[in-house]
Amino acid sequence: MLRKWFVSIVVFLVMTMLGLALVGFDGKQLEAAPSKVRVGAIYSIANPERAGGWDRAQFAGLQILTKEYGWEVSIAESVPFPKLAEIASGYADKGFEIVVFTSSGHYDGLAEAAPKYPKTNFLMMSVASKLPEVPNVAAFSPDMYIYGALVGITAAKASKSGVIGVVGGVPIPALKLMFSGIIEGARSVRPKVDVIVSWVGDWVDLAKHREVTLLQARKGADVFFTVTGPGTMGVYEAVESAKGLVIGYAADWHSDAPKAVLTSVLVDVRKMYKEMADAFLAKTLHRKITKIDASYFKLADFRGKVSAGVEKDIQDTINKIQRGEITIPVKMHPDIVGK
Amino acid sequence: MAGGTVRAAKAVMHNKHVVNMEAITKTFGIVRALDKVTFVLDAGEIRGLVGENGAGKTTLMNILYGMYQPDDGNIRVWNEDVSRNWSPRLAIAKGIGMIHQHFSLISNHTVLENIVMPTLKWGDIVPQWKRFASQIETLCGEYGFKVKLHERSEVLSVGERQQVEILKALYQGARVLIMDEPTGVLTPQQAKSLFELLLRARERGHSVVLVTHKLNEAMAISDRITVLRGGKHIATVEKRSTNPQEIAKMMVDREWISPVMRNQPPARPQFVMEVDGVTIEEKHREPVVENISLSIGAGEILGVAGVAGNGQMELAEVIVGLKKPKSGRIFIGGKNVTRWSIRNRRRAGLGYIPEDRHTHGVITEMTVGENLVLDCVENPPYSQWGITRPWAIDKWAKEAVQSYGIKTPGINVPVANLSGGNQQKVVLAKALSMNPKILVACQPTRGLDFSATEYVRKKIVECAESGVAICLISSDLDELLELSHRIVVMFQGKIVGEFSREGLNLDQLGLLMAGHRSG
Amino acid sequence: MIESWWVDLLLAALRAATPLIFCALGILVAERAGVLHIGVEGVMLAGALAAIIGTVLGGNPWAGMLATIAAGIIAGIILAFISVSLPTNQVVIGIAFNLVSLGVTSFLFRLLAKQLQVLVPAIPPLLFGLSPFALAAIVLIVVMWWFLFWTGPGLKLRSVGENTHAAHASGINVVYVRFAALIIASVLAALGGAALTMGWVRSFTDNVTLGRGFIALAAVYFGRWNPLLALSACLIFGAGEALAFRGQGTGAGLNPHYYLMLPYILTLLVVGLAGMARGPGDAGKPYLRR
Repeated sequence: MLRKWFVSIVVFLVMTMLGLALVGFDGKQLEAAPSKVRVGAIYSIANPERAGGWDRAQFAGLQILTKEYGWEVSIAESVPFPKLAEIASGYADKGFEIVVFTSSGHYDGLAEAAPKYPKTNFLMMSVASKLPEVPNVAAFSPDMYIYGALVGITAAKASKSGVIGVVGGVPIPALKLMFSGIIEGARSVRPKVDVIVSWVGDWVDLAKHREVTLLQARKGADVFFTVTGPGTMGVYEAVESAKGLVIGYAADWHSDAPKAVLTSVLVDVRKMYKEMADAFLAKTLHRKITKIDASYFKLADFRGKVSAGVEKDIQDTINKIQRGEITIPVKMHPDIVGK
Repeated sequence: MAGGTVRAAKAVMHNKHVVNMEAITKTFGIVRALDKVTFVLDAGEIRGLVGENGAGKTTLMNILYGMYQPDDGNIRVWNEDVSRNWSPRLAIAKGIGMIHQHFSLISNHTVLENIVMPTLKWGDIVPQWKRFASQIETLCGEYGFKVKLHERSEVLSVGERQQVEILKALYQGARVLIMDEPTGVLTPQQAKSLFELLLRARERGHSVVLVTHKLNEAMAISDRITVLRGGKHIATVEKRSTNPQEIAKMMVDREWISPVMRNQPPARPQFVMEVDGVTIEEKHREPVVENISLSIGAGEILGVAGVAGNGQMELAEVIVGLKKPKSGRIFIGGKNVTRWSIRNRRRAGLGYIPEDRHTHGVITEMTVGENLVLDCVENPPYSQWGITRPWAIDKWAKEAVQSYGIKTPGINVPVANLSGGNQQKVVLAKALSMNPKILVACQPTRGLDFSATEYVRKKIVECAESGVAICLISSDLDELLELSHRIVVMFQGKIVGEFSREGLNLDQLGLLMAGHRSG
Repeated sequence: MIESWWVDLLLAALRAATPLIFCALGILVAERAGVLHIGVEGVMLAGALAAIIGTVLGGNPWAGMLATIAAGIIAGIILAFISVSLPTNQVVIGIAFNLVSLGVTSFLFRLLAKQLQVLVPAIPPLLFGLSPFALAAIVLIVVMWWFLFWTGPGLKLRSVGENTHAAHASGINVVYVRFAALIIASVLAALGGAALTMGWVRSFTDNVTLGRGFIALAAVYFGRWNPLLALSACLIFGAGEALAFRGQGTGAGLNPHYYLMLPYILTLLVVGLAGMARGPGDAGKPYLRR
């Protein structure tokens, strides 16, 4: 009796959900207006709007396409790596002009889909060292080393203790490059600075991120920086608890932890996406890797977290780097394990 | 004035029925277990409730105790209608206590916890264990129990567990004791003291329902006897005005079946199986079987007697090859098979009827046909080059169903759908179809009704007559006495006595089973 | 210096162990009543989200606690209805519940992402730098031990878990007891989630519990369904996690992955050492009254 009742409820719920899903699907189909430029963006994470730095920055860039160019942007989230080519092909099949890949790990998906759809542009909006041998591809690849150097300079100059905490999710090559930049950048302005690099072992576990960061604080670190996944908030929590300061990655993180965020080293996604969009409209979006160098990076508002003098000092140094007056020689620290 | 009222009340009490169950009906699935059964119990009587297996005795009592909900009918206890929302909790509150055939003690809890638990309330945050213990001690003294209150009930012997169950019911204030097959696991001496106890309870005004399929027990102490058959109430008779033959006729609806003719023992048995100095140790390094030697000749039935749990089952498992002995040797037909696999022993002619047919005997989810060929499916004609030949299997299964009288809707029916007796026939057919030279039969008739029991016993005797050596392990003394040529008695893993059929002394047998060495 | 290192380690271990302890308490109640609590991970996740939602929308930690308890009760009723009232296989329903909970919490978090992407106010430590959650966890463990082994209701609860037939025969309504036990168990597991998000990391992400419910399950099995032993198992797991990060800083120059693998190896070793622990006799068996 009870079971029958239960089964009928389950059947009802499933039907309702199916119905809603179908209605939603139809709605999307109808909205498609053929005159606009359509962009499909692919993420492997969920909720890019509130996710970690790079993904969040890309999301802001995509918004610019909608708001300033009136393009239509469709976003696919949580796409597992083996499904990348399938989703990308799906966009191309529906006549999307541009497909954006948001992570360097998406290269294989791009390489698989691009040759099949010569009329669609496939873009890698992340670190790329190579592109497939077809004309309809391009990349906007940030220079992670120089980005790290800017973070290192900012941290070293803002730190009172001279100890900087850097937390990474998993030691992947791009992060090792960036963290090497942090060490070299920091040492260039403060030779005796101590940069502690720790790895959490995953991208997501808030608690582990928090404990790792707290341990760095115990060792004297007062300015922090992290690149990881959803675990970022764990780092920020520890920084706030330890009354330290943290530098945000790629996007402005002030609203996430107002007390803890010193500043963020922003990526100028507006500039990046406008270049892309203008090139597309001018039909000059050729097979090319555009280097996103120091000129694309800038500091967010410090909101009074350091004295005006320190702030000006940092800003000046960064300006000098952007103008090429100072260069940070590339020196890798392949053994970033700890102290 | 007041005194008069009390006296009047007592008179009423005396006449009043304690329990009045009217037109109780209960079905399980499509089986009608009880059909409009009426059962009336008076204060201060011992009632025998008899019937074959499946007659509905236990179901009726489970309904009285609130374990099962009846589909239809009325229950009145102490003249109060309790048909609605009747449950064990209310039954206990009304003074009804039931001792199930499979005890409901929690093996991980102590005796004290087991006895007191049902009377505790959900609000008893600080139970007064000392007070409870002394109350129970008093009760023990009254009835002559000896129990260790702080022992975990797991370590108790079967007899002790039963005492704890009775104590539990009495501690709850039971005025009605329902005993479901209480003597099944007891030695004759233990059974005797149980009956004395029940008589003592009656003296104190308690009512007792003795559920049993053993007629002589019911006749021994009951005041009245109620007979159920096939879920129907047949009769309730005064013991004085009846006799066992009449009751038996009501139970089975036919005249008492004469016991199987005892076969003659072979004149000079040639030993086909020998067990030499076998010792078996359990995990805890305690020997469960210690230095046992025995031999069985062709055509001979050797009975192994003993209260369950004294090493008989381990002995059987070692002979069959399910367990490895720590020391000792086993010979089949003169060959040392101690290190042989089960399969090789079977090939050498060893058949096995396991104690628990569900775990070792049949696979209940599989069909009758599949079960029948389970042991020999890899041999021709049932398979060739490793591929089964269904038609050969079907042919043999149909033959077996016919020749063993297995009542089944078809050979493709899962064994689980068969009654216990027919399941056992499947086990028997499976074991005997291999034409064994030796048969180890453990509790072959346990849980079976009259006719199935008779059938199985007849088959065993036929086997022996055709020259098979049989090791019969049973806790049913009647069975052993009826079938065996020789009987050995096991107690705590040792053989404590051996009797030939002629030299049998029943009293001494009982004493040996209970561990008394003297006499 | 050395002393403070040890104190620090112990505090870190206790922080990591606190959510586990709450979940272990829940598992203990459920399994002592004979219901396998595989769904503990899902309930913990629901509690973790409810705590953050409550704190953010309600404006104070008490609202968060209230939301957590409500989430625990709802989850408990759902689990109890399916695994006790219907009843269904307890392992399957537990796993299904975990999956559903992951989906539903991620969906809700997404709906409220703008409000929830903040750090909720920190709860100040109460005593010796211990958070109220940690203190409550330890007190509750002792209370649970006392309740299970020294009180009448504890004995009755254990009876249901050991032998439903015997419990029913002694007048206990097995279905009610299991239903209630699952609700209490789920509230405790939800509090474990709150201890993680509200009491520790102060924010939520998708699947924030990351298998901590299952680690608590392992702790209970290792602790042989005894609260005090389960507590020590939780502390061992917590210490493993705390040690893993401390290893990185020692300058031994080993690959960081070596240290990060430590807690998992430790879990495996501990569970392996526990051997064939025997749980409550009737745990996992659906009960159906005839």
